Amino acid sequence: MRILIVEDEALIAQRIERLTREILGNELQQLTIKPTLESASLFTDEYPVDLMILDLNLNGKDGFQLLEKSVAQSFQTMILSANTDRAIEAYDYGVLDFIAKPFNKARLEKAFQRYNNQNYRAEYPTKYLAVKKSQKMQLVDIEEIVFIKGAGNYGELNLKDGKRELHDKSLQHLEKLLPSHFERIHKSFIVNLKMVESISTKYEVVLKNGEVIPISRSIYKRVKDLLS
Amino acid sequence: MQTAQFFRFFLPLLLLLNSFTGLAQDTISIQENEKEVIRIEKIRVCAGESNDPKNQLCESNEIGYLHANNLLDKGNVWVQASVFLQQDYEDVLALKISNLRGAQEVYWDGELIGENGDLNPDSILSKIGRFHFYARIPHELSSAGEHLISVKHKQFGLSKYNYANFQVGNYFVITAADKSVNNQMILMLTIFMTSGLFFLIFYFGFGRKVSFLFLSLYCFSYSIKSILKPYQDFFTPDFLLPYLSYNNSIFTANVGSIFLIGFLLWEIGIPRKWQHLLLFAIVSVVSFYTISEIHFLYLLMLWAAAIVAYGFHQKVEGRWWILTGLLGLILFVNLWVHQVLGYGYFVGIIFFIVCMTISVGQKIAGQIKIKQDALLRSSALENQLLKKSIQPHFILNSLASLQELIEQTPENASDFVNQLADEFRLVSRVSNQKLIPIADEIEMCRIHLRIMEYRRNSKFILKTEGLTGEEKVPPGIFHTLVENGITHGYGTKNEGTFILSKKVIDQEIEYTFFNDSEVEIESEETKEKGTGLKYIEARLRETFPNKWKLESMGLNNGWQVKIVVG
Repeated sequence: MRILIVEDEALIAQRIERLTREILGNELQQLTIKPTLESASLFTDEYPVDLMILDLNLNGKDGFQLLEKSVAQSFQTMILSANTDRAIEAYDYGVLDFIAKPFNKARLEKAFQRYNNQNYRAEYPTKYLAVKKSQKMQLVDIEEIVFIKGAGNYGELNLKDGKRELHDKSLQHLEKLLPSHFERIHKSFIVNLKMVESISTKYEVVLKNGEVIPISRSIYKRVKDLLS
Repeated sequence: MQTAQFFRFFLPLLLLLNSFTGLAQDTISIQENEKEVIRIEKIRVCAGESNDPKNQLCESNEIGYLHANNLLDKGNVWVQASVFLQQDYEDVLALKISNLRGAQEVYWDGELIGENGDLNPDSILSKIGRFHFYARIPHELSSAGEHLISVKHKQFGLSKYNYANFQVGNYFVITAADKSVNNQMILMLTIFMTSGLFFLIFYFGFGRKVSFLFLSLYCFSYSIKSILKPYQDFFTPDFLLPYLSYNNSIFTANVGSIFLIGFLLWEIGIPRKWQHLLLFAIVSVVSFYTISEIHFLYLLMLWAAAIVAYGFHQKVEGRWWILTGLLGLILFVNLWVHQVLGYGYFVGIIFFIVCMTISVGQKIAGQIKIKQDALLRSSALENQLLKKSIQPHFILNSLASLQELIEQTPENASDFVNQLADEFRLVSRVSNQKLIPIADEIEMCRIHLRIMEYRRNSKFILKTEGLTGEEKVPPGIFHTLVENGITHGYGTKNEGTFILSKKVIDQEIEYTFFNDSEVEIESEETKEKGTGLKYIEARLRETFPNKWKLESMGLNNGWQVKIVVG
């Protein structure tokens, strides 16, 4: 696992690093500490990262603007912050976990388990997915999404109005952030169950916008049950 | 809101005016009744103490009026008049004698029917009679026909308007007018006394503002004036009787006018107040001896108008109420001069005082609000400083650091806790003060740096230059700069130097606070830097109103804040 820690307090950064090494052991491929989000984003532009542990002072608007930038990236984001009263708001933007300061080893361990557990869902599902536009970020309301098509490391968001947007996270990462009515029905598709018109016997779902999406045999029955 | 304010200010005025209109109507109805009263026009005066009052002593039309100056030092004189009753009177008949300044014995057809004062006193002051008094005419002597009134009179003191006035008529009709006059005078006396006390309390209660004292004295001088008017001695206590005279009354008004001008001078804030007031005082006293009461009143109003005009030129606060009061005064005095409103003069003055009361009330309400705001600001600043040391972000991050210290270097953990405790203790102690010794402030900075050294795993140094240690500064201003510097300027650096230096230039002290941080002028952090600076500005404004300056600027090797206080 490749981890990036963004923390300006050396002692706390040292603590995260020490505990992470203790927990992950050999699983840890790479661990980097950056004191500011600016220096962190220069790093992520060049090096691949799986998980960012971000210390964010969420007081004020600025903290959330920075958060918006980091959740648009391909990696998962966990927040480590003293401002627990803003935690739910942070989840809205699509963070995997929110760790309150001060924290102990057990709490950090749980966070890594959540990252590794494919069936884990974020405590509060995201409300938006940030999409990188030229220069700025755009927040897409997840209820606008009909289905998401996996395209390599990207997710292609297919919206109600027919538009398509690219989000930097893979389906595997997105699955954990989305609410329960978003179901991975196929290796390459996550669908908004609210947008399903019918399910055919040919292992296909017909969506309200007329599109037809394949469904894996392995979960065909489960989806059918969910819909009826 | 506008309408509500209108009513709040004008309703009291309307009520007051209404009560005066009532009094005026009262006066008119009394005057109607008085038509039944017989006024005796021909009065005769002659000397001769020992004569029998039953006899006609003086020749007809010998002297029409009593000239007090002629009577003074002449001992007892006889004042006589004849009256013809058209019919036998069934009701109680009375003789009213007014405007004789001295002591009298009154005879009706030779019978002694009344005494006023003492004709043979030990001391003049104790034995002077009333200006007007009543003698009841015995029923058996009130038959139709000619009757002779003889008054043995001794003149005490001079009087400008000393002419005798005899009236015969129904006792209740004759006395009603006096009762009415007295009621009105008691009402005015009450108004003047209450206002006088009101402004006196304001004077002592609100920073001894000189104009309040003048306004108070003005009201008191009018209470004295309303007592001294000789035609209203009905309820006047005996000891005051010698002082009743139109002259004294007018003189009191002239003195009162000095207080009025004093009030305007101080309220409007005219340059060279004392010289101006002295000049007016001289004019006022000279006017008493040279010009009539009414002419002086016009002079006074003109003078006051000139001061108010200056107030408008200078846009003085409360000028509109002063103008309203003065215009009301001018209007009512004119109504009085033209005999439209009997008490116009007093009504005008009361109107003026009411306007001043409102104006003063508004000003004081304003002052109280400013004081309360200052108090609120003070406690807000105190809270702000306290909050810094207990704000969740600071405490929780410190606790997270502490966890690491406990697990890794327990000996440092203990010291770290001590530093946290010291900072908290110091901040709590100084936060409610306006000025603290700079040594305390520097100690607070050093402790904070020490805490941040642990948390940031860095080295921070605070140097001071030019300080004597005796300086006093508002609490938390440099502490805030230290915090700002560390939060925003040492993201990647793990060494920092802070320098606090002092220079004295003329009367001003200039503190320069420098730190060698990495400056990011355009970052979003400058805004947050702003909240810290706002705290410092608020503290400086509170402690050195209008005598402070704050400059914050990025240099190529750091950040510098200059604070200049006067």
